Amino acid sequence: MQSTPTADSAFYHPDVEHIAHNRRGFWIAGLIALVGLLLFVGIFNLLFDRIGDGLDGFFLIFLGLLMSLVPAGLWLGFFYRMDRLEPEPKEKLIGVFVLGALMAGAVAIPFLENFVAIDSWLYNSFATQLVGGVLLVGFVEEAVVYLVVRYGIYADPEFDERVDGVIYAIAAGLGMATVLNFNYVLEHGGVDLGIGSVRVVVTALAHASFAGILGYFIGQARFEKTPLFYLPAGLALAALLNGLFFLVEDRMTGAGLTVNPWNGLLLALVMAGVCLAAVFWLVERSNEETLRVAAAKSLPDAPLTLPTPIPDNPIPNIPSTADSADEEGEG
Amino acid sequence: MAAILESLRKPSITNQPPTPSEQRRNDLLVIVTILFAIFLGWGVRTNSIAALRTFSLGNQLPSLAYPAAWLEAESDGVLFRAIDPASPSTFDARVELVVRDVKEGETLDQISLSWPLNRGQALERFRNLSASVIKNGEGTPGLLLTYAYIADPTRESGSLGLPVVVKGQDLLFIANDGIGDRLVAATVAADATEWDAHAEDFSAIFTSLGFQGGE
Repeated sequence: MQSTPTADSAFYHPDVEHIAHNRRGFWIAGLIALVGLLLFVGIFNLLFDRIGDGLDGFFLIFLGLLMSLVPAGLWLGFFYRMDRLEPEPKEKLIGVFVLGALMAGAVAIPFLENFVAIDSWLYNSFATQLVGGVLLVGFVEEAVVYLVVRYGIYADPEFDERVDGVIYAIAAGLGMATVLNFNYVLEHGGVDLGIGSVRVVVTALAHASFAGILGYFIGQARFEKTPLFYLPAGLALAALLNGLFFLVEDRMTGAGLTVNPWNGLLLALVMAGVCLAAVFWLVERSNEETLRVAAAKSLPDAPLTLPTPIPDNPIPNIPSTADSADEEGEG
Repeated sequence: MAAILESLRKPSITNQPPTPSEQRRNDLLVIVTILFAIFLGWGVRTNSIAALRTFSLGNQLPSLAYPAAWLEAESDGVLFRAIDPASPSTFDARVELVVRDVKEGETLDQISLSWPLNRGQALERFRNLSASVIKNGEGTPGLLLTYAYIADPTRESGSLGLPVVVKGQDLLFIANDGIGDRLVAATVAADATEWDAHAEDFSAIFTSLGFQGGE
């Protein structure tokens, strides 16, 4: 169900039931992609751990670049398998992914590496790494995700559900992670395939997680009147997680001259799992609220009853009319 | 913070999309937030780059300050050495420090003659560029020698890097640590093509010892 843009709306707005649609397939696809990434790491580290032996620089770079594409490919692939009933248009999803990659390559990486010269000072002290990591690396990278979603897909009629904010932000985040991994492979003239596969997965999981958090705020701000602090707080939260994650990962994986990438992988898995679960809960919660307020508005003077059941949208705790009126005033 | 947590726990649902003006307000606030974060981050960067670490020369002697991003490196024959790992050249910019007892009857004038000779023997293609006497704030004289030589930093590792023309400055002065006179020799050096890029660092190093130089 779609309607045309109205005079009091910046963009196209569908009906509330559409906005509050829960996409179970998306979340299941996310979980399966996590398992797929673990298998990918296992293959390169356990089954084919000698595959890179004897390869020269060109093939190591080529394989490294191919590996960088795997996390995004897995996620997009599973997303399409699980979400076949109401998929996002493939070309738009890939378009956002490519835009995220281009923005990372054209803006974020040159800004951080050349203009800010981040590597020459960020690791001077713990405090510098923490604060600089959040304020510069975190904010710049999450700003790229935000700008890609905001100016790439936000006003599109296909952005018609709250969860679309999460889906498109993750696509943009994976695009950025792919280019960051490309950059790493090229700068190092290829990578050890075992450690490289772990690094590729850690970067992708981390950026998908931060983007997922930011995407929830974008989806919410797209369809609701939000307080002044709302979007900036979402961006700041994603940037904070970004800075903290890579600080902790750096401390966990590197100790003197030894590197233990498995600690980083474990951290990224926990991070992705927690973020995915948190965003899932938040989106479901918001969708329930949307439907509850819609029901309250449709029957202002009568005791509320459940609206027509919608698959995947349980609506518990229907409050009294007075409570609903209070809720409406909050925005 | 409480409001943010509350809005996360139970979002305020209006079922009303933002109006165009509210949308513009949101955009503006996000952009301001990004710019403000970058501004603050730039301040952290500036402070971090300007940050100095110190190395104490000894009791009653001044402390040597060097950029915090530089790494202490082991070296025979010197009391202290720190290098700039971010130097683009194969010859890392560096500071070295030698502190020794002043020999019986030895003066700065005599040292100004013998020091370049020793340098000429130790360094390949050594060329003395200038020598001048400078004074610190307390009027203590110091000798500032500027010179150049050829270094081949990749030779030991077997790499095929080209030799490098190095420009260096030695600051020599005599200080008393309460027990006796000590000759302090602080050396800064860098690939000659990168000298200007490190001039501020070298200046800060000599300033920490009470003298102006490194420019």
